[in-house]
Amino acid sequence: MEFFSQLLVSGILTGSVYALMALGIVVIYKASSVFNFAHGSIVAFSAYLLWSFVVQLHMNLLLAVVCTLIGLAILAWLIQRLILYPLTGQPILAAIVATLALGEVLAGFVTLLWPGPARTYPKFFPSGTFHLGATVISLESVINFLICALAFIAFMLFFQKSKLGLVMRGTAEDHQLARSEGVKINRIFVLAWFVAIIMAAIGGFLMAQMHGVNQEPLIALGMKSLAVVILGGMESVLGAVLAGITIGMLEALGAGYLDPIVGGGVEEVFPFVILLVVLLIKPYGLFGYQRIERV
Amino acid sequence: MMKRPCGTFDESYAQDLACVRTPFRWTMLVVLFALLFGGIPLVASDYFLGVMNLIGITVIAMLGLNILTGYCGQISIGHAAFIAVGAYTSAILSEHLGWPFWATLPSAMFVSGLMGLIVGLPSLRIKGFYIAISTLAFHYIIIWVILHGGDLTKGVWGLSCDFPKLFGMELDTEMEMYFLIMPIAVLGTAGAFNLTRTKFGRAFIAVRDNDIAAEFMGYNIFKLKALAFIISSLYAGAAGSLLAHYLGMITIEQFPLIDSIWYLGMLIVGGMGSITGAIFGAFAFRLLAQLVIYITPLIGQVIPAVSVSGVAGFTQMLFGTVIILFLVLEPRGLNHRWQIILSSFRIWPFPY
Amino acid sequence: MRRASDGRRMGMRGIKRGFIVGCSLLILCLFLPCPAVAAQKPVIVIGHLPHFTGAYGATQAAFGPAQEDAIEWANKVNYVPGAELKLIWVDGGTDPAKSLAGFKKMIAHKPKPAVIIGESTGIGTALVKWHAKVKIPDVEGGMSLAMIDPPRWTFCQPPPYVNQFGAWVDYFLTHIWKKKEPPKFAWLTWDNPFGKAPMTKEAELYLQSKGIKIVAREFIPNVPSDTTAHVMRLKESGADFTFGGMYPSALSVVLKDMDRLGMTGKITIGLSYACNLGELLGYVGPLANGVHITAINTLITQWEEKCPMVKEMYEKKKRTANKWGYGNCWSKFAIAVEAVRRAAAAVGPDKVDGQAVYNALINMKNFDAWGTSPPITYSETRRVGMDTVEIQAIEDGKVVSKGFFPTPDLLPGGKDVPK
Repeated sequence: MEFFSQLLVSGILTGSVYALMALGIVVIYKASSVFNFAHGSIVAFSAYLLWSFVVQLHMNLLLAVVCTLIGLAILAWLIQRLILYPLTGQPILAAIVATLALGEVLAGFVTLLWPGPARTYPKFFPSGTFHLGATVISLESVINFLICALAFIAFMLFFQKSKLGLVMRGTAEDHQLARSEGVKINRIFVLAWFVAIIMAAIGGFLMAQMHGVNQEPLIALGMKSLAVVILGGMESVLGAVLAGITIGMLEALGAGYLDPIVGGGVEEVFPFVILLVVLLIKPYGLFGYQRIERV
Repeated sequence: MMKRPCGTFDESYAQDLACVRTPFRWTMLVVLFALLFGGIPLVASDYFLGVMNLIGITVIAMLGLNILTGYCGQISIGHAAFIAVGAYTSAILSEHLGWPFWATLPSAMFVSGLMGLIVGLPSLRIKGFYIAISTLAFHYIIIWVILHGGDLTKGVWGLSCDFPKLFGMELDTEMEMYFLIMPIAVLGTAGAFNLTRTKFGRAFIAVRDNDIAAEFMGYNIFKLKALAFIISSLYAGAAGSLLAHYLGMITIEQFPLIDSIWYLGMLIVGGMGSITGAIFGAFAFRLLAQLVIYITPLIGQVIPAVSVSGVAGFTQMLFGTVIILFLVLEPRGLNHRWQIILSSFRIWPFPY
Repeated sequence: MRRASDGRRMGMRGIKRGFIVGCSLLILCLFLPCPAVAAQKPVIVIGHLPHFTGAYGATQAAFGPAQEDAIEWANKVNYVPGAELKLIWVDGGTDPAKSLAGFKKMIAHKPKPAVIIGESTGIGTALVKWHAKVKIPDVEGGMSLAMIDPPRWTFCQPPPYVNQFGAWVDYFLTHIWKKKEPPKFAWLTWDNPFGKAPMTKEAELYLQSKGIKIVAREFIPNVPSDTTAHVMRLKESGADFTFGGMYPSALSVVLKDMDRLGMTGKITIGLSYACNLGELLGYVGPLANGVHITAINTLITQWEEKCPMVKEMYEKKKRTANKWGYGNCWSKFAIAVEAVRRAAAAVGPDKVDGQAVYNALINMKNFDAWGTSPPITYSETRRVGMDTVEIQAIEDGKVVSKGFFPTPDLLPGGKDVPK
């Protein structure tokens, strides 16, 4: 039982970070139906950017975060203006592959500016452990979880309560209608990318505390959110969150209970097996819109 | 219907259905073949032949993906895994059982096709981008199985695979491999071209454009989708088998996920849903990669401030940027541009 | 059918045309012959296939400055008398297609490279037959069974991972384990080719012969985010020491989880070569104490006494690259350059080709690799460079050397495999 609860708790705590990164993909997909393959690279890029401000330029954390946000806003604008705007009205796959190429560009950019082995952040959070019954939880991962929860709440408030959020949701529903109401949808897309990149950045920051600011692991972790998004359903914010936590749990439990049976390494494929099973039962993911098609 | 220069008339159905219609096209075809099997091997260096061999293998893989994604509309992010299945089947048969090349190639295609059928089964229920991710899941699963395959796949160690032997001759130079790969690529191209003209090809297009409508028209769309998966993996299996025999040695690290995604990228850059597009995509990507290799040391010389590994990052950026430019300037792929050139040539000197 | 109102796209036509023409011209340029460079001395070309981008990019970034400095130093001291060394390199990008294309590009270089240095197990394995075919030896930083058996033109530098494992077991038994009863062993390794490389039948036989039981096999994913399950199973199994191949980024996650679950200090972690302990220290600090590695590179703190030229070049050129990777790259260039020197001495500097370097390599006995690594020996049948490793450990937040230890021969059919 101790084994189980320990696995469950750590799975949920890690899953929360997956969920946060997956939110980024959902936001972009909802706004412009582009599936963002560059997410992993963006996760890595933003972690490096923050590192650069904090360590190389010796800024304090608050100032560094502000500078990073400015940098990421410029990135969001560049992506929309230079890549996706010219591809408006073109086959959607072209836009998706363009994000793939964008990922390559960002990865190259990171190699160019920050070559060599991983960097480390200075310690931001206190480390330590506390016990919950027999379960041991590290303070760091709880703080991570809280940050994710806060980010999620902020995200929901922004979308549900603010006027801009309303406009974004409206745009997601119908581009033409939004346009005829006077919404500048290109700005909304930039905003969507910005929000998505912030989600990626927070996820990258949290993951980088664990792995160091290291390009490859961060890209791989960012790509994991693709599976999360599909499991949850591509349009569903709630789905992404639940799926993120589910995948975190499945990984931990798979490693715990299946590894001894099949000889190890289950956690890398187990989420995908579950994903397949779920898709067979619910073809649009757990919470995706059931599309009613007309001919 | 294909546009034809004026003055070309059909007098029988056979004529109407022929692949190559006009004398000019015949000439072009003969010239192409002469170049492919005469000109290039005669003048090209080993290096160029090596590049052509890689392109040839890529073309075979791309043709398969084009049928699945371009014609049938089922996006696949697992193509590298199918190629891996083909490569490993070949290597296993060659290494453990000592089968010759002419037996491993069809077996690799068969096993890979079987795998395609299994992967295609979920398409009964799953559609659109979700099918893409289900193929992604299969990519992970296939690679995992190979990695944990014990003595059969030699897991982490990789498998050795003999150079192909045909008629008692071991094909181990670039030139000999060229004459093995290119005919297969040409056969594959012809097969794919004809497939798209059969009832299946047309049915694929119907499924792609709207599968519900296709179902109402009486097509069994599940059967068609599964068929597309099988055909696509047959091609991938052939490409994998050739790759294994060409390299002589395969490990699991040679089939990363990113390759699967880039195959899709090649298809988009070349132009989806056309045979020439698939070929253009393969050529454009592999040649671009060569270009990047050439440019890399030059950048280091021109801008000494950039560190050597930084230069590698720079070339990676260059690669990505050129792909983005391709897409932004020609989102329908190189094939679209090619068709414009062709039609303006056809109607010359009239611009309309 | 172009719409007149679509002005923007009309404006792009020029750009488009220019872009397409430009691309085609550039690609055409590829196949033009390069003008030959006139040189007084005969030029001997050394090829290098590092992976600056992709998964190995972070580790191998330091190879960039190192490759240039090593060749520059060799030319400066006239290491190969009567010849000028020239470096050509191609970024393999940890990608087989890219690497294969890069390899072909290199062997098409005029004059042909006399030796090529490879840097990856996967790519090295893929190119084994090619190196034999084009008759250019490969001095390889990777290590796999397929590369060394049967002996071809690939000369691996590090000892096989299973031999490193043997050396670690020997070291643990003689230097760390103080109790009477045999210790319990667990595999704690990456779930990938590199990590699983030491896990062979012979390794298990070797443990058996020492009376050691394997109590757990834990495979950590490439990018772990949580390793609770593995660490808890290790804890339950009561293992005393482990072995495996992992990079610091993955191991740091394990160490953090070990700390949380109260395992720190209760288990001795051994790692195979290619884990950069300095980097690990940066991630987890004091938690890394007690981690051992079967290293093949001279400690950075010992550069001064063992290989002064590495330190000298590093400082002279004001390099900022990671020192571990920098030294690692030098050790491979040492072998290649030495082989070229011997070949030049044997056949004359203007006749050095792959065959001559091959002959020099198979006659290399106890070459000290300029002090950058344990000595290198090859022979007609032997493709493993080293049979010694340097055990290094982290103690009190510092990487220290524990001395050189011979590796038992645990390859299939090796002489130390228990019957």
